Amino acid sequence: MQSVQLKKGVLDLCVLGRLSTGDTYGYDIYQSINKVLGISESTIYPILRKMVNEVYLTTYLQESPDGPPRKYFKITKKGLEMYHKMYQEWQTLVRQVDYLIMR
Amino acid sequence: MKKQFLAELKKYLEPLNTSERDEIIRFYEERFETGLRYEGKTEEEIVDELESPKQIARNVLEEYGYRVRMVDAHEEVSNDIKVGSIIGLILFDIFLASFLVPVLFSIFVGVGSSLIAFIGAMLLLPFVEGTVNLPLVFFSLGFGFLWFLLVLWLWDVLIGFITWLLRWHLEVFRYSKTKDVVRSLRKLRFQSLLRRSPKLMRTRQTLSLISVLFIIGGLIGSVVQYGTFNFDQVNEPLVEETYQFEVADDDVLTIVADISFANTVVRRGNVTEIQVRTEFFETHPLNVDFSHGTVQLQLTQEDQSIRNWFRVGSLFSFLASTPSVEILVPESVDVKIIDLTMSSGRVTIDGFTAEEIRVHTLNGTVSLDRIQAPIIDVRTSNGRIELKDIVSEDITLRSSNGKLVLNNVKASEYDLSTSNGNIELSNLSTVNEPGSKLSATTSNGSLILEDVYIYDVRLRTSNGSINYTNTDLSFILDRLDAHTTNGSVTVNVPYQSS
Repeated sequence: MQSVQLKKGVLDLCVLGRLSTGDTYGYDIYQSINKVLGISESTIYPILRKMVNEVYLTTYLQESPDGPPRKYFKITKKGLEMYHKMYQEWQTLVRQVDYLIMR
Repeated sequence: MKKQFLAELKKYLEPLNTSERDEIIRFYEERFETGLRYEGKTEEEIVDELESPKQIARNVLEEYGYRVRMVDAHEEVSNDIKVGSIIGLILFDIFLASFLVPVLFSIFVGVGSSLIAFIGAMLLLPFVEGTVNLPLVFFSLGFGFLWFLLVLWLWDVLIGFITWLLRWHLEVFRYSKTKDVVRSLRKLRFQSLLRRSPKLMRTRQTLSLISVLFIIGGLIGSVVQYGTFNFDQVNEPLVEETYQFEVADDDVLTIVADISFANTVVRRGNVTEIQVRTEFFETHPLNVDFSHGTVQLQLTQEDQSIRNWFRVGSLFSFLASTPSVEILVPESVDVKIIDLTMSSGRVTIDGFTAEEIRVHTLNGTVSLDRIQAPIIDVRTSNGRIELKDIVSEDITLRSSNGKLVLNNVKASEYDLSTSNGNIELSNLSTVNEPGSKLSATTSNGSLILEDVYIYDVRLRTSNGSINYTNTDLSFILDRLDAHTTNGSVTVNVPYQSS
């Protein structure tokens, strides 16, 4: 079982990464991340909320054909900048950790 | 099912503020909608998929940085009081807080009470002399108000420090209402009073501006009215007067003075008669009498009401005009006794051979230069005493607050003491070699002795270091007794016993 703490550290990056490819709603973000990482829903939602507060994301309501409107998330310019920064940090970290343990 | 689930979740999310809580609830509402409408699931199925409301709340709160306490008792996180921070706290309390708090407090009280004294002096001002020095009143009002602001500021500093200290203590012990305590303490500050009342803020600004204008106006007014910065109560300029007294060449003169406030100089001058130059206030004149029979010059002052501590001007003595006396004695006349008693002012006596020199002053520096007199007795309550190029037998110097400085002095008995100040002795020796004695005592200050060749030396200080060095190490003291209660003792002189 993967360490929850380890995964939590990269969740922000995953959320931003998912949204950098296009707007979507909360449950969808959760599902796509959950498929790979197996993380609980209840950790994703507060992260989304926080990112809205920090203006990395904005929200809008999208009408849907058969149901009430859904809240869609859209990455902002600030969020994109953050994403690129975090992505680079992540890659550096992976290289550094690989180097450390594969010597 | 759904309703119950959301209600429960809402309850567990209580610690969050309402808007954040609603946002999280909305996520789950949407989650139910999605499941019901798009995936064709029942409410039960969805609830089964989800974690329990308690678990969700726990994760959510953790994400928001809450310490999770709402969980079951056995999962309760211990409130971890760190031993390290408690030790740090105790050390800080013992070594710094125990000292800083009283110091800050005493500064506040000191500045505050001198303000009260200042205001008292200001109120008395118009009544003392009957006439009012108006520029001084303006100046004092302005100055007093700025002083008042300083006191308030010190109060804020004091409260700020105490708040900081208290918060730190409470945080270490994880007191839950720390924020409330801090907030209510902060309210005690003058700053927060100002912040709450814009009216008061404006008043303060206006009054500050007026104060500065008053000060400047007072200074200018004083120059316009008196030609100088006159910060005495006495509403009058100084009056100059010179007295001359004939004396025979072989006369032996005695000088006695009992006056209040004047800078006094007694010295040899290139004159044929005794000359007394005075600068005094008209309302507080100086009487200068000379008795030919006893050959005594006597300076007295009937009205001695101008005491230095009563003069607001003493705060700005560098600006104020000061009464003065200068006594010039012809070279041909011998002097027997010089005896000066005064309330305050600098005293300088220069270049005499006499039997006795006595100076008692309440407030002022006393300096004796080039004197030969068997008895020298100088006492001052507040001020330094300086002796240079002196030959004597018994020297007694007392100061309650000031340092004693002796350079190039010969005597057989030195009795020096001050309550607060250093004692600096250099090039001291003795007239009649054996049995010469020196006793130097200070309650607060260092003793620095350099080239002091006296047989019996007793040095005492309650707080300060003692440093005694001689160049000529062949001189061996009969007795040396050096003691300090708090400080180092460095002695580089040979002696027989202690």
